[in-house]
Amino acid sequence: MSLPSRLFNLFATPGEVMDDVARSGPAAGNWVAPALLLILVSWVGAWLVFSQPAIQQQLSEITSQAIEKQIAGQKMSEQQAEQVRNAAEKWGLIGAKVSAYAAPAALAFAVPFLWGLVLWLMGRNVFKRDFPFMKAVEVVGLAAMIDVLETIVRTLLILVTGNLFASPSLVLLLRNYDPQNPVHNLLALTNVLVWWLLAVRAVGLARLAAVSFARAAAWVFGIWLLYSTSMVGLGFAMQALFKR
Amino acid sequence: MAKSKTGRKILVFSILVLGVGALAAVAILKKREVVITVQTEKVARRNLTEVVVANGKIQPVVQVKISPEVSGEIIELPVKEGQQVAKGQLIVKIKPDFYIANRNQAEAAYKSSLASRATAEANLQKANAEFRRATELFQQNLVSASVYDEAKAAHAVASAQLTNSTHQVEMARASLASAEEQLAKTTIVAPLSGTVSKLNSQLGERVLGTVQNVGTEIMTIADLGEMEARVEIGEIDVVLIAPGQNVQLEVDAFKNRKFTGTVTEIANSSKTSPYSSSQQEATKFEVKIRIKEKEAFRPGMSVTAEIETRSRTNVLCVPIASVTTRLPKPKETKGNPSTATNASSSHTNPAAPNPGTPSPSTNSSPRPDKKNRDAVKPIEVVFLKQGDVAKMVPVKIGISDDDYWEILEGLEEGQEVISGGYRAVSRDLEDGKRVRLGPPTGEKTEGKEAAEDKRK
Repeated sequence: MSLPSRLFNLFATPGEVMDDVARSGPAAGNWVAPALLLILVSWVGAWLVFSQPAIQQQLSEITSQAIEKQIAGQKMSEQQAEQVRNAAEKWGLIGAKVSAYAAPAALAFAVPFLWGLVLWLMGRNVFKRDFPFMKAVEVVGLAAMIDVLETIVRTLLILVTGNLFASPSLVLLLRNYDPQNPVHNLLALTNVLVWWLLAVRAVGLARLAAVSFARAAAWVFGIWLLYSTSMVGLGFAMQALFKR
Repeated sequence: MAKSKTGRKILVFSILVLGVGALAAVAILKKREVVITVQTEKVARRNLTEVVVANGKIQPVVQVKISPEVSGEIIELPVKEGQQVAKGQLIVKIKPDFYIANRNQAEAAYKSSLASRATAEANLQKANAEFRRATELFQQNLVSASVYDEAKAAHAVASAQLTNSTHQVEMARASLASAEEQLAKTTIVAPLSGTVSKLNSQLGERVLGTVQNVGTEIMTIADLGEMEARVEIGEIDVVLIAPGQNVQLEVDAFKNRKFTGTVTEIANSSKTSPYSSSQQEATKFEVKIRIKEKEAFRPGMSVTAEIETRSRTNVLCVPIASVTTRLPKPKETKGNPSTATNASSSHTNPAAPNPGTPSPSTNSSPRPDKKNRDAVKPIEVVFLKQGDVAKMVPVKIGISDDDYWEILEGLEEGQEVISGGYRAVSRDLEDGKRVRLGPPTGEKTEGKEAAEDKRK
């Protein structure tokens, strides 16, 4: 199967693609091509999102509110507060844009190796099967095509709703998404395209470790759920700590 | 098998393309308008009390600094810091040896002058008798005119010597009185009943008198039964302060307690520090506030005073965050006050409102260029939420407290004014801009907590 065939067939017949990957020799294109595509789509998405006045307004409001919270915590004069506001708004917006462009570039290459390591360790230690580490990286890399689709859909949803936090999840039901609200963060975990991505990774693990999809999926979803909820819980704990 | 896979692929890709295409179409066709998230509050009638907040220190109303009038070594210091003393009680004794010697010397000089005066009196009596005899003999032509003149001159000299001696006696008496006074000043007694609030000197220390220069400040005695707060108030606010105004006082040392007081004195001249540049430092005036409650205050304790300067009952109020400033539009339409005073875009607004009036706290618009600033002055406005658009309304504001501004003109009771967020009111909102209600991110829970704290 050619690389373009793998990239496209992954959406419809992931089992067939993963079988092909497991059988064939190492191919760097399996993870490099989706990573480059993801970066490209993320950058175009970031450009589109940041060019919208409504989104710029929303971003400014979020930055401004965060600054006001900081100012309210520290007793300072109106003049000092104004200086802090001006500086923080300027650098906050720049920081948001820089991270929107830099984060996908770093994550697109880091995630295949991190999740590849997770799958490889699960194959060796849980399913007692030996397969090359780079095969796990290829599986995760190819699954990133679902991430590409998720990025496209999320960008379009943001443009449609004018909500910076829109995603194909239950968050769409919220009128005012609050990133500091743990319940809202838990709702964000219901992103159906992320579930699809995890399912494709689980298919890849099942093929590499020669186990059933259900067992592989239970482990992949379990680890993701554990990681995601602990992140939400950590955020909640940090908030509670700082409030004291 | 192959056919079913192909069919599946076609189905999946069709769904994806249709779904993404539909989203893209909606995204392209949708009219995008900037909607500003705001919070609102109704215009309501409230009671307002305007306060001026100032910081300062607690000091006794009556406080005396004790400095010696004569120099010398302290040989008795029968008090300690914090000790109560009664009026007339010995508090310091300075070594008197030198002053006793001075007194003795003056006394001897006085006695000597008395003796000199007695001699002069005797001489005058003798000269007087001789002069009388010479006069009688001269009238009978028994002595020459020369003898008569000699007797006359001797009498005059004796008389002058007596006058001189009399003055010498007065001088010596004055010297003696001065020496006795100096000696008496080696013993210092308390000028009032009170507490030794500060003790700077120790037994055996040499102190300097204040006769010709600044003497040593040995101690401070204060009446701690009557205390006052001395706070510093800026020149903008000092004109609002008047004697008799009520004050709420918070003393750092007495947490969770509020004291009451009354303004008693307002300084006529500003306080200036010799070490600071007057151009950079705000001009401050000292205001004295008599504390009504009796408590174990100590001089120098930090205090925050909230002076109630003005109050209004049942007046129209809006949240303090809803009042901001905007420049009025350059072209005014006569006969329509609402359009005549409409303000221009916030991007050209200056930061400062009219000088001399308290400025709305939310004002923070960027400054225009100098020419524009000179031409038009910013006006106070609020934004009303009418449907899903903001309407700018110029207002005339009165007094304010921590939370609300009094509205004198421009609004009616029950109207919905935009009270937040900060950025929206101070910068983003313009007449006709679309708005939507929404709690700002992360502020919802905090707002509840703040309200709860306030209620407590």
